[in-house]
Amino acid sequence: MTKPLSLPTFDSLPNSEEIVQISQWLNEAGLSSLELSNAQGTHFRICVETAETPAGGSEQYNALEPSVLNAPAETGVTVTAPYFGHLLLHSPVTKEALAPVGSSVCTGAIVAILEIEGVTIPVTASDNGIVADVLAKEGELIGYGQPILTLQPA
Amino acid sequence: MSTPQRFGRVLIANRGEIALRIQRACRQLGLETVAVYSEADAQSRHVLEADIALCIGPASAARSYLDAASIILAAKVTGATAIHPGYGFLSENADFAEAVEKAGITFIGPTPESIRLMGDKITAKQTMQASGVPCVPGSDGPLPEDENAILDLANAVGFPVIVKASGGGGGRGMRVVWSADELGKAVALTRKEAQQAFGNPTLYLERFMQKPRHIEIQVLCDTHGTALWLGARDCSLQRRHQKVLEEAPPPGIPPELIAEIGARCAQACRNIGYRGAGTFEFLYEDGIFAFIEMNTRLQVEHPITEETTGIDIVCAQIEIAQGKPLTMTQDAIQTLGHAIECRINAENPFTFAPSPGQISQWDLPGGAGIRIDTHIVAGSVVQPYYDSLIAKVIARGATRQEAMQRLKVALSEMQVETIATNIPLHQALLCDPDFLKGGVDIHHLEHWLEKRKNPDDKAAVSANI
Repeated sequence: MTKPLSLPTFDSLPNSEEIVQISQWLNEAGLSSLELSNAQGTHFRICVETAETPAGGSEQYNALEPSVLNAPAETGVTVTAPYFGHLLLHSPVTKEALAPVGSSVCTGAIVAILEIEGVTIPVTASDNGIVADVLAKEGELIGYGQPILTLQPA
Repeated sequence: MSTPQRFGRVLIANRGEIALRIQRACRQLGLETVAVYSEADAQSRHVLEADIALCIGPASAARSYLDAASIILAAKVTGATAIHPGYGFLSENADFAEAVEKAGITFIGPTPESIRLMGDKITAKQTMQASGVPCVPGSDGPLPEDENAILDLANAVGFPVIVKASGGGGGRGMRVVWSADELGKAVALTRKEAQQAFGNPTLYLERFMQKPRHIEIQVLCDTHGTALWLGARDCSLQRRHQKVLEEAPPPGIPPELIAEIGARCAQACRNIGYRGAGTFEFLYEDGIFAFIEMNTRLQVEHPITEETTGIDIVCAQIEIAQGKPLTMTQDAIQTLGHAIECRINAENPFTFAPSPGQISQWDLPGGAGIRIDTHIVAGSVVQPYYDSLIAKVIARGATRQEAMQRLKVALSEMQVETIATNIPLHQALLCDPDFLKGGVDIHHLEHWLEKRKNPDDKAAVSANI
C-alpha cells in the first residue's frame, strides 16, 4: 500500500505495461477505477472489473477509451464554448454574421466570439462542415462547454 | 435596516454541501446568489437553485474551483459584488483574497494580511505568543551549550520533552526525552545528527504531548472592534489528520478553562485586526492548551457551534462583510446543551476507499434536535473528482447523552443505497466505551481502527472462529 505511485505524465499516455501495473495497484487497493485529468481537459480512465474471484486470481482489466468531451452528435459535430462569456455571433468589426445557418466553415475558422470584461475569445470550428443549427443566442451569457452550434459534414 | 448594503449579489466559490449552506444564508439575508461550477457539478442542487449559475470549467478543480482568475471574471460578468470562498479550495489563499479586493469585490473573509500572517506557522505562533495565547511550552529559542542550563530549561518545561533540530522537519531530527538522566545524551546525539543531516546543529526543545486532544475555539470578529469567541469544539476523532466526528462542548474540560482561552483568542483577534470567522486550533493535555494554528475561514464543523450557541455563523460572516457591527455581546453567548456532528463520506467504512457513483436511495432522518447539511438528493451522482463528504448529520441534545441517543437513532434511519458510506463506522464509534466516556485523544481512532475486525476480511473472521 505504501508503494510510491509514480503515475505517467500526460505528455505520453501510459503504455500497456504501465496500464497493467496501474490496474494491479487498483485491484490491490480495492478500487474500481482511476481517472486522470489535467488542466488541458485531457482525460484518461482505467476501469478494473472488480473480480469477485478470491485473492490470487488473475486480475482482469479493461482500458476504456478516453472520454471524449465534445462527442460528435449523430449527424454532425457540436461546437462548444471553450470558456464562459457573452456570446457574439457577429463580427464586432464588420457586423456580419460569423457562421450563419447554411454557411460552410473550415476547421479552425472563427464561428463565434466570447466577450468577457472587454476581452474577446474566439470560438473555432472543430471540423469542416456546414452550420446546421445555432443553439445559443446573441449576447447570452454562456458557460464553459455549452453548445453554440452544430455542424453537418460538408 | 437603513444602512446601505455593500453588496446584493454573492458569488459562491465552492461546491457541495457548503455551497448550499452559504446559498441558504444569502437567501435569508435577502441576497442573490451566483453559483460557479465545474461541468461535473451541473446537476448539483445549489447550482440548480441559484439565481445565476455559470459553468466556468471542466471537472478538474485547477480549471474550476481553484481557478482564481476565472472566478473573479465570473463575478464581474454576473454582477456579483461579493465572493464567499467556503472552506478548502481558495478559502485560505491570501493572493486570491487580495485579487478579489483589488477587483473591487468584497471578500467574505479575513483580510489578505491576516490570511498570510496565519498561513506561516512560525509567524502565527509568534503572533499568538505575543498576544498571550498559550503555545506548546518550550525553550522559545535555540538551546544553550551548557548542559546544566539545558536541564534547567527542560525542568521548567516539564518532562517528557521533545528535542528538535531547528533545521529539521518531516519527523526527522527529533528525539523524545522522558527523564532528566537521558537528557544530556539525547541532546548530544540529536545535535550531532542535526549537524550531519541538516548542516545546522541548532536545537530547541518543547514539551512532548503524548496523548493530546484536539480542541478548537470559534471566533467571530466585526470591523468595529468587536471580537467574540463562541465556545469550543472537540475534534479529536481523526483518521489521517481528517476529522471524522466532532462535538461541542469538549467533554470534561472545565468551562472556566475554556473561557480563559476563549478570551485570549478574542484578544489576539483584536490585536491583529482580525475580521470575520476563524478558528484557533489547540492541542490539550493535562489541563494545558497549546496553540497549533489558526484557520482563517469557515470550518466544516461550524454547525455544532451554531447548534450550541444559536448563532448563525455564515449569516454573521456575510453581515460582517457588509460592514455591520455584531449585535451580540460576549456575556450573552452561552453554550447550551451538547451537539455532535458525523461527517458522512461516500467511502467504504472499512477500507476507506472512495465510493463515487449515483445514489438511488437517499432517506434522511429527522426529529427533534436533528440537522442534516447536505447537497445530495436521490439520484445525485457523487463525483470522483472532489472530496467524498456527502452529508453532515448533526444531533443536539440538552445533554451529551441525549445528543448521542438522537444521533444513534438518526444514523439508523438514514438509508443510502448503491454507494458505500461510512455510516457503519459512526455507528460503531457511538458504541465505543472510550468515546462514550468522553475525552479520547487524537490517536484514539487510529488505534481503534487497528483493533477493529473487518467483517469482509475472511481471514480475520476465520481466525476469530
